[in-house]
Amino acid sequence: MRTNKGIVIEANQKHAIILLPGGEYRKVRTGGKYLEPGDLYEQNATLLVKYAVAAVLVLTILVGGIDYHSVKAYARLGSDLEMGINRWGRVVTVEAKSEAARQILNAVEIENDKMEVAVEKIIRQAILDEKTSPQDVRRNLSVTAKEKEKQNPELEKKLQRAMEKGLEKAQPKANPGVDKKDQPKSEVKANPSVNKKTEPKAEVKANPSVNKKAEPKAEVKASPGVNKKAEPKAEVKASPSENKKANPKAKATQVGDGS
Amino acid sequence: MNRLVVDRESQIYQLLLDFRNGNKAALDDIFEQLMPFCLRVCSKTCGKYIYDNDDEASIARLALVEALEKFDPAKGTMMVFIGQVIRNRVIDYKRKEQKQSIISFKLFSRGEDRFEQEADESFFEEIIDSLARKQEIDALQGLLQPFNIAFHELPALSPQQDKTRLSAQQIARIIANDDELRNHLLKKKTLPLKELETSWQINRRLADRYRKYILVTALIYMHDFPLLQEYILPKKGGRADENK
Repeated sequence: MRTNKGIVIEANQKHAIILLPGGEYRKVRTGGKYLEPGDLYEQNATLLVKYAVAAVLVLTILVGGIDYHSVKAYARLGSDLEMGINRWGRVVTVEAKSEAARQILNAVEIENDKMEVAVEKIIRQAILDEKTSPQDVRRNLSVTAKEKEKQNPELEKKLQRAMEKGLEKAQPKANPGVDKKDQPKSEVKANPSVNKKTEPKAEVKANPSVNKKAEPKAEVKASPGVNKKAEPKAEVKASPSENKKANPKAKATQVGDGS
Repeated sequence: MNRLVVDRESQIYQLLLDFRNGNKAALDDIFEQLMPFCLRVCSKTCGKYIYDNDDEASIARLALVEALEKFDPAKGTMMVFIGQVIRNRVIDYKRKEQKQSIISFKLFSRGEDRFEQEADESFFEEIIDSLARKQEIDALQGLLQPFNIAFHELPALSPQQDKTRLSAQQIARIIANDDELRNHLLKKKTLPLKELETSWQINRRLADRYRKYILVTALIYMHDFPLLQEYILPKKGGRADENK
């Protein structure tokens, strides 16, 4: 173990001035050790190594921390949600530019997540909240690298790929949700108790391609309450056997005719 | 055993013989010469600075008288013997003190550990060397006073780079070895910058920037400080006169 052995020139309770071989004067911490001028002071080299290692660690953590939080690119989901991405493709800042986006962000925690995961989380939440559909998101996806990072086109491509991946991951799970959004209306509207003649009407009117104004009509028309009035008439016309029971007069005349 | 110990040993032994032959005044000389050593032994044993009027100093004085009475050259080195007697008496005193008073466990345990350690010859030799170095340091401090230089300033005023430090030491050696420059330094209490620049092509900026370091180094070279000089020589096997 290498040591620095010097002469104590001056000493007090906390510090000492030592003269090292080679003519270097150094102020050292004595750590409460009793020293007097003239004593030899041995500075442990391992102590210096420990300090150096500690300094390097602190520096690494500090620089790493700063670098981790520095935004290298911005990813936009639609027009109202912007994520700051660091060099490792992790979300370090999130900015919501609308109330809807803020609501989504309140529901999901995406900071420090990989961009792929963050995109997946946001899209799922947006679909759940019925704020958007994957198709809308896909149309409005964009990644913009910061000016300094423009020389590195790979970064933008990498982030774009990550976004696409996140979107794909969100989609298969989101599809049943999409059906629920689009189809449940038709399912509810297409009440099983409704007769066959009214069902097609409900399906057609509940079609997603049809504008929203048309939907309520479909509901009204397909409503079982409304059909109740129509049913007896239809039954009367459609089932002659039932009519026999329902109309004793007719039966009597027939019998009378027969007799 | 090193030269310093041997020199001091023979000197004090001579005084002891005088005292034993009836010269009472010799005892004062012995005390004068040995008390710094005795106090340093006390300090090292107790692990704190011992002043002249502390109890431990009185114990050391009594122990010194006891050691001088009992010393037999056949038994070994005089300084080591005196040191051992003082150390034992101080340890006895400390243990007695600990038993009588209520002392925190921490202090007690620290004291116990220190007192349990056996002191060998090198322990006392190191104290003698340390006292010799202290004498040089005290003398240097006295020399630096007219220049208004304090030791605590030196770490900040010393060159940090080895190369720069070597250059500064070289300037100091030039001053120490040249009568004219040396006289200028001692008389005017400043560095002869102009002369150094013209006659020795010394970088004036460097000399001016590290003037206090150069002054201290030159004073160490100029005076008889062999122990300190060992430390201001270049690291890689160089001697002071190599660069003359």
